[in-house]
Amino acid sequence: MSAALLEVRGLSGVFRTRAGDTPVLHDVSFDLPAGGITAVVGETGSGKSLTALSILGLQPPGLVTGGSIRFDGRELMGLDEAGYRALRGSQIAMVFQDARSSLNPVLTVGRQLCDVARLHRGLSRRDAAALVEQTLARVAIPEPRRRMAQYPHEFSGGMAQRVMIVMALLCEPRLLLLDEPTTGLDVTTQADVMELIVALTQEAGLTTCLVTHDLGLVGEACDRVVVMRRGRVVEQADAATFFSDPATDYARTLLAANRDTVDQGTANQGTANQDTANQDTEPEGTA
Amino acid sequence: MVGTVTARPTAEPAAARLAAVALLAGRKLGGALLVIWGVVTFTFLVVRVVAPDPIGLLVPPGAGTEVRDAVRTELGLDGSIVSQYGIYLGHLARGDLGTSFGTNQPVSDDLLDRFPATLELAVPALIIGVALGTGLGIVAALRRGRLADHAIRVVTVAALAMPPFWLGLMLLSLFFVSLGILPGPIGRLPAGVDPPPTMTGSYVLDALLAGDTQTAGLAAAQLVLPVAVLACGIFAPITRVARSGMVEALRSDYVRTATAYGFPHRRVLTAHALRNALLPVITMIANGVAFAFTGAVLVEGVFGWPGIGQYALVAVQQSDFPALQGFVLYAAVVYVVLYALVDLAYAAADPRTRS
Ligand SMILES: Nc1ncnc2c1ncn2[C@@H]1O[C@H](COP(=O)(O)OP(=O)(O)O)[C@@H](O)[C@H]1O
Ligand SMILES: [Mg+2]
Repeated sequence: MSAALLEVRGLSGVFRTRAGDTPVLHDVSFDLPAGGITAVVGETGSGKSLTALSILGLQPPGLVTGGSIRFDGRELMGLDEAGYRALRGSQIAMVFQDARSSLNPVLTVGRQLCDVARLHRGLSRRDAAALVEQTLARVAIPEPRRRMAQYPHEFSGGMAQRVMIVMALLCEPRLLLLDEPTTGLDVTTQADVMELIVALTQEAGLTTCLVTHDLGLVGEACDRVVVMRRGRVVEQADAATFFSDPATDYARTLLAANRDTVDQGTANQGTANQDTANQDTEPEGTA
Repeated sequence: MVGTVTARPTAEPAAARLAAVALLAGRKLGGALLVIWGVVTFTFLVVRVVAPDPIGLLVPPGAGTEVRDAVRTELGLDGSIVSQYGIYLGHLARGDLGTSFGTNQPVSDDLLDRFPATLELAVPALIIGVALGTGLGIVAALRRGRLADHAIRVVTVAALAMPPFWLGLMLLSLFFVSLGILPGPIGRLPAGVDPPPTMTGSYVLDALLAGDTQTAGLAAAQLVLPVAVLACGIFAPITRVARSGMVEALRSDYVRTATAYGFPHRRVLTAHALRNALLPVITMIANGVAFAFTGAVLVEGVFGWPGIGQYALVAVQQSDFPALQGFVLYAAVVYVVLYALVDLAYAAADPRTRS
């Protein structure tokens, strides 16, 4: 594995309100090595999303950040709007947790994807549409042309998440940030989306950062693991080392908790599958 | 199971689709007629139970029973309420709104005569109210928590708290009585000035079209205060809804997505935030239109404006049953038509409402 594409050093974050300051990120430091998948794991509220958002300058307005984030050797902290704009999408693309709400409800999915393709690839309307259709097919969305004319509410959660992944792919980024890309999806769809992420990372030679609270999800998929807890990085290691010999008690607890949920997983699967049937096979049902 | 998509016919049969639309339209029209019938019937009864007997207001004091009975018969108020109602509905079905006790003219003619005056107030008031309301709402959202936001909130709350007729009186006492820079509440033109030849129905436009700039100026001066009062009643609720819609949109995930994919701030605002933020404003605009077309009763009263609102006010004072019923019918039709338009507007603007 080569040098780090992204280096986060001493990242701090404080929510500044009238009521007082609430520190949420403390001296967060980790690397994303170029190529491969790094998982950032930790329980809900441990600061994973805020860390990921801070990379692109998308943190909520109340969060004051400090420290250093270097992308390909360039410092990102303190960039102005134009600086971030040059980075967003084309260099670093992000996929958010709730895909359906991440799409504009009043614009067709095709229109939103084409806009991104045109902005980042400088394509004509017609060429953008062709590229979008082709990319939708690549992530196994059936009938891409018809789907492009539909609105986000006509998509199931899993299909919408694929659309968001397509949006990222259209930009041909170097770094792909995925924030809980499978949370809220049923178990089968989760596995499909994960499989897709792994395949695309390899095909496109991407560097992927997968943020999740679900250790079970990243097990076989990732190359490296960064563990966060209460706004701090408590452990980072290669995946093999991490899973065979976690360094901290906290990581051991996470792993143990995960084994429990894996056992429960089979029980949940029945209902989850019904969900899929409703959402993915009847596109008009929700309209 | 995942990824399988049930085959779906590429296009529904056109005839079936048309039939479905026709059925829906028919149902909506039926519902609208039912609403109008209910309003008309309710008004008919309330007017006869609550309003003072018009005979007492129409005959000279001390007139004998014979005179009173003759007038009662002439007005069609001699039968039972049920028979009166039957006759009224029969006429209504033929488009006859009856004859006003006060003007002795068909109520429909009276309403048509007065509609241009109401429209001359309503149109500028709506343009100003809607533009100001959306503009202030958006600015307040963009400057949330800052001085501009607080200032706009104060103005909006004040406008919401003030009854329009009271605001009209205050403005008159300031600009007419104290400062003397605007004309008094004497209607559309000062006494002695002839109205311009009718073309559009707006005195200002008609005077301009006739090349009479002096009359146009006088008519415009008469418009200022009543239009301001109406616009005040219209903009405030729009501001509130536009602000909250915009605040919500700015916080939304899809605005974050557009930003995260490198779209310039201005484009994120116009192409993504605004389009969603203004959806709930549609309903508020419809309320404003209804207010300007009907709810201006007291405003027209305060300014002596010879429009439909003042007609209704006089009808109440004189127990002019046909005029009052005519006004309520007009108001009901305005509301029914507006809400049909609101439905259409939402269907066009928000794909989630289409089924
Ligand atoms: N907009 C916000 N205002 C105040 N506190 C926030 C906000 N967003 C997140 N936080 C707090 O910051 C901490 C980290 O949040 P987050 O990064 O979303 O956690 P994770 O993604 O790991 O679940 C949490 O304690 C959360 O309550
Ligand atoms: Mg999170």
